[in-house]
Amino acid sequence: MIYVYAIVDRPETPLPGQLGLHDEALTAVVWRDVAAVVSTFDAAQLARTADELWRHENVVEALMSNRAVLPARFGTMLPSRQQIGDILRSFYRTLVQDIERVRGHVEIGMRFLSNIEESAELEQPPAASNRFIARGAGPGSAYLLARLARKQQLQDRQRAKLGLVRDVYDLLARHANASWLDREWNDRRGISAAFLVPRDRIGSFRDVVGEVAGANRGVALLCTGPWPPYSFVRTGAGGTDWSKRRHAS
Amino acid sequence: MQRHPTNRDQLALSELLDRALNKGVVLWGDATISVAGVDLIYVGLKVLLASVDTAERLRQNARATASADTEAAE
Amino acid sequence: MRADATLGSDQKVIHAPDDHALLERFARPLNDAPRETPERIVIDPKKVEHDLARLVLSVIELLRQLLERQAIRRVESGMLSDDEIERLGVTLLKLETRMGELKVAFGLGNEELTLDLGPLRDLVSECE
Repeated sequence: MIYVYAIVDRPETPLPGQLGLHDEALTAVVWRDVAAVVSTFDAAQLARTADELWRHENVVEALMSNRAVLPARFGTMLPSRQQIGDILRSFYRTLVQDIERVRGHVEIGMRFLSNIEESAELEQPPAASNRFIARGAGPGSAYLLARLARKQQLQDRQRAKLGLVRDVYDLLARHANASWLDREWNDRRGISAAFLVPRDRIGSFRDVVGEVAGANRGVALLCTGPWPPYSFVRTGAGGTDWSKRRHAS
Repeated sequence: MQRHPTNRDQLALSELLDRALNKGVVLWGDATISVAGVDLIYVGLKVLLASVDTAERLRQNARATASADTEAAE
Repeated sequence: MRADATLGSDQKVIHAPDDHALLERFARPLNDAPRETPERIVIDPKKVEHDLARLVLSVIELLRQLLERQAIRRVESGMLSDDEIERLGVTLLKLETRMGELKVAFGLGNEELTLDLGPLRDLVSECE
């Protein structure tokens, strides 16, 4: 198999001396002015370990030193170079647009958790607080309406948390050229955001993060980076189209 | 894998996983391709479910684009 | 390990909370998830009946919750008549009561009936 690390521009530029997964040499499959950076790969040996992931990441980051890079998802493999070339041709326009967008930028990621451990117990919703007034409600309706009221209570809580995050997000988004925020708060992983930041503004972005982190708003944040722009590519599956993930204003 | 969860390396790895396993370019070909969907955190089922639809859509778009390009070139 | 990373940072964490509990929560997905093999419901021959009951009830409970969420969404949509709401509610109420009885009969608590859905967890959103 041919393992793909990234799609890059400037195919004429020599590849880094870095070795890929399992110490295979890096080569390029070129179509016009884009290239896929690849190495041969024994699919049977794919091990999803931290080492392999960092090796993939190191290749991508090495490429970022002197060109625009669209990182490929870990484990992307095709049977032949020919097919990779065909795909570059099929997706050429999208790839070129994405390359233009990310050139000279890095991704910085944020995750937010609410400071208070989620409590399973909510206050009993008052009987009349739901929006549906049942006329002569029987036990079945009462049951459903109580459930509905609880759901709405949960949603209100989500909205409040999201409001807190939104302030921080909006502030940081002003320091980035593109950004997105997850639409929903996930109880386990909180809510995520990503920012496309020009390289020469990484320092000031970090400063702003430090400032907002200091102001405790009932929301804890984790900020990591700089990363290659995984979250800002469109050629992909599984809902990774970043332009669709943008939080509705 | 280390069990100490608050080590900064663990956090970085967790964030790397979130990116490299869920995001990034996925290339679709006509022949069998392999994506490491069955993996450390997000088992491939969700990816597959979403991917089947998206793959079809992407292929249709790609074909439409390719034929539009061919037409435009003529 | 990542000394040759050319994005200029040895470590990727720009900011993290000082609080240990919060750090644990941020790192939590990594701890929970990695499994070399898919989770199996263990059937112990010595208590096959109990384990089977647990498995079956877990699936039923999952379906019950999904159905209930669907029902709530429909009530919210305003598309149901009062009569339909009442009938739907009575059925769900009966289902919930029956499940409660079964749980007691088999000595199973809610925690034991929670299936770890893995990847489907996100599809079956927690935020009803």
